Amino acid sequence: MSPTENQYYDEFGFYSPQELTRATRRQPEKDFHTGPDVGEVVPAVVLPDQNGDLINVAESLGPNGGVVVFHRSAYW
Amino acid sequence: MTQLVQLQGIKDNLEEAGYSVFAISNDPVEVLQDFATKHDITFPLLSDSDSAVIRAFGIMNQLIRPDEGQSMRWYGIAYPGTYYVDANMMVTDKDFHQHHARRASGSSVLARVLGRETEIHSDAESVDVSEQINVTIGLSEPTLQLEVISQLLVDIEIPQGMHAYASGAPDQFSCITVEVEGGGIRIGDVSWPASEPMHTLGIDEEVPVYTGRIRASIPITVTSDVIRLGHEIADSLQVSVVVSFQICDDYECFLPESIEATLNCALARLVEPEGLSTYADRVEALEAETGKPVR
Repeated sequence: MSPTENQYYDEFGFYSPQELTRATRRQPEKDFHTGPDVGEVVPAVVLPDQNGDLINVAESLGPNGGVVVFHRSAYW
Repeated sequence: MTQLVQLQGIKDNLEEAGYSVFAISNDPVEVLQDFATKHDITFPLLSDSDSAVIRAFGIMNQLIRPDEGQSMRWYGIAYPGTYYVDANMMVTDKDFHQHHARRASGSSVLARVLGRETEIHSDAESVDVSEQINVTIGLSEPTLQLEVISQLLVDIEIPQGMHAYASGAPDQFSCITVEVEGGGIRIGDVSWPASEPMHTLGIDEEVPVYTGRIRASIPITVTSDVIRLGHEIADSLQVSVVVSFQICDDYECFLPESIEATLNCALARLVEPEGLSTYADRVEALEAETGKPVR
């Protein structure tokens, strides 16, 4: 199969209109670093939200805790 | 982005259970404000515009160089993933996928937080194989979404006093299997509950079996192949499921059986459908240029 035909599909069969050579399509190693592990306390998070209000996650957790999702971008 | 819209969908359930939800990216506040307004997002979308928090967690994408995609703010993005923390910010569970485009569905986040089994969505197929055994096949969500990992769930009720053979049973027994097929989907490995060892008459060794109600769970993801069906994305796709098993009691075995069901799976409305028409256009142009299907 020629590179022209295959440049949009990665080894996992995922298709994107960005060529495989684009920076955003590089895959981490299987054992890439995924931050604090189970049992560890996460770093402090104090950041502005979509309304510009400063949010301190530690102070805004529910009585049982929270779900903290890291994503690449709201747009893509 | 679809994941944020799904999280909004489970926000009330999470809060009722005593959990809050936050999303973090290196998007500027204006981008988050625009997205939140367009898609009615009411939980905090936090702006880590200089990636300080992403770095503190140690999850900044190291594969992107500082000079790449500057207008898109590629440098400084996080590896996508989810932490579940208790009220003292201690991690109780986490979920990261090697592939940047894969992420857990809303219902699986909810099931994980609440520590309970995912419920089969009500559009499930329920098949009475005989008077003795019932199989229910369904999805973990009302709809499937592009590149979001949902679960195909198969619940099998084995009558009291009877058992089905699990993987690892000797060749003369037909062990229980689930096979899934369909266009536009990617299927993961079937996960089964732990089997129990049983002494069977006439055989010296212990044989692995299942009893009672058991569940097989299969990761199912809609791939961008659905786009290739045409510029308009279909409303649904069909998934065929074959469950094969052999049921025995202490004295005799019934003949091995297979049941087949076709699930009509609704596809979610896409958050950025324009982006997908662009995909379809590019594929079509490429196919016209090379005269071969893109794959």
